[in-house]
Amino acid sequence: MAVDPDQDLVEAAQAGDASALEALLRRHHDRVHLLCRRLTGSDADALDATQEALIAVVRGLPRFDGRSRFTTWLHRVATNACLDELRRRRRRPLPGIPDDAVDDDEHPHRALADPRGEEGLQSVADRLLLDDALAELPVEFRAAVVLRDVCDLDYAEIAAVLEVPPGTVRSRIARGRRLLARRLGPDGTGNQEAGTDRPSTTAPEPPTPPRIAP
Amino acid sequence: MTDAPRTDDERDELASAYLDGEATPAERALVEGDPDLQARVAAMAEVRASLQAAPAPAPPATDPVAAALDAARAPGGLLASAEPRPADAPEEAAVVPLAARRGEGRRLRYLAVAAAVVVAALAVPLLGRVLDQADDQAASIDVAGRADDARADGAGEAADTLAEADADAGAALSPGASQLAATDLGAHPDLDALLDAVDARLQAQEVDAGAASTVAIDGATTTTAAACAGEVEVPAGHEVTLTATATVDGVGVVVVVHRAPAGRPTVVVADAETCEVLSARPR
Repeated sequence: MAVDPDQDLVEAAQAGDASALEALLRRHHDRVHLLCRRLTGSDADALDATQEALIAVVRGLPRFDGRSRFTTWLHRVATNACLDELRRRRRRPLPGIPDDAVDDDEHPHRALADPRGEEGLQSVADRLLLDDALAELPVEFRAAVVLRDVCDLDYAEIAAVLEVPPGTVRSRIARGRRLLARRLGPDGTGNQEAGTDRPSTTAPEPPTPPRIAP
Repeated sequence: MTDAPRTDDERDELASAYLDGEATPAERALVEGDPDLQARVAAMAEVRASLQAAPAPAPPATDPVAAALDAARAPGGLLASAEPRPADAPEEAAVVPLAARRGEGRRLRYLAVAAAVVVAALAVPLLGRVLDQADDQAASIDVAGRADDARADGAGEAADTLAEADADAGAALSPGASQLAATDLGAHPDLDALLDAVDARLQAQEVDAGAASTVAIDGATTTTAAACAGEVEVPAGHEVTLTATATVDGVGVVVVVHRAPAGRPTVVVADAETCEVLSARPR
């Protein structure tokens, strides 16, 4: 295995070096946030999951033994945090308006008042469409696709993160992409072509799978 | 020799693996000689491009790294023995840390319980006045639960002493006890259920204008909320909108909710005995 580029920072952080720990977290927190945003489909849930993930990393770092790359472990922790957050969300009432479309505290009507005008609105629409399409994927497919296409992990790394065989990763990514292709097709309704494994848009989301062993 | 895939699933898997550079040489040759497979590759490449072109999410309003570092600095944390936070550290970073006492042994647990009883007895008049000025928000002291817990741990005479103190404190608490009990969020099977209860409580506050007033709990009154609630570091400029006690899977916890003016509330849940932060998340 190639040398883990995070190894020095990890070892220093494990030894109690605060600056090393901060550098390690700041090096990766953007990718954790991005993973969480794509997996949860919500700004608020992504922030919760990101914070939970980073706290879990801090607490688990003394037990991290370096047998896998730090980023592999980090993605596993973050994916678990997202699965937990999705499980919590299933117990909460569904919001009626996407997070980005409502005013938040510091950026009132940020999305709707986008100064880029129509281009900005189109961007928001595209993002919402993408969020919707991802949200319709079974979470096993969604995690595999996001880890591959957003986080740029290879199949072996994804298999390690999700703790499934590489062949399963290959299958999940393919099926996830096919479903996304249909959903993001020209009419955006998922009716581009018939498919045998396309989940019903009216069917309830299947239960969130159990979290992965840390 | 690799057989040509027949089913849609097989053909999509092959196209997807080809796109990712995960196909074998034989599989690559198959794809490159099959127009249908190449079309599938192109369709999946569009999906990948859409995902990669999606704008990055806006940076979170609060800094999750700062919260994680604070968790690391809490007693028992990775940086517990490291140097204290630099004086020029931003205030908003001080969201999470509690003075966890995990590992200090059972003796200190009982000392903390006894201290909570004494502090409660001394501070209730002050708290009562604060509560009179507010409508509904208050702090609660799960003294009975602590004494029960001490008994369950077989603390013998110590527990008996606590029981007596419990009775004494109960008498002293009587004027404000009903208000204190109003913010006992009850027993919950897990942390998620408790957070749901906190969310419901916060939503009720927003709906009920009469109950929406907040209690600006200073260090003294926060200390009366529970043995460790006073050690929750609330960022400068934030106000505490709710303090409460509850049990999660039989474990006593303290809940402190604080928020910046017009900001989102942050819910901090700490173990009532050890003060270890169990959860700290914006809502």
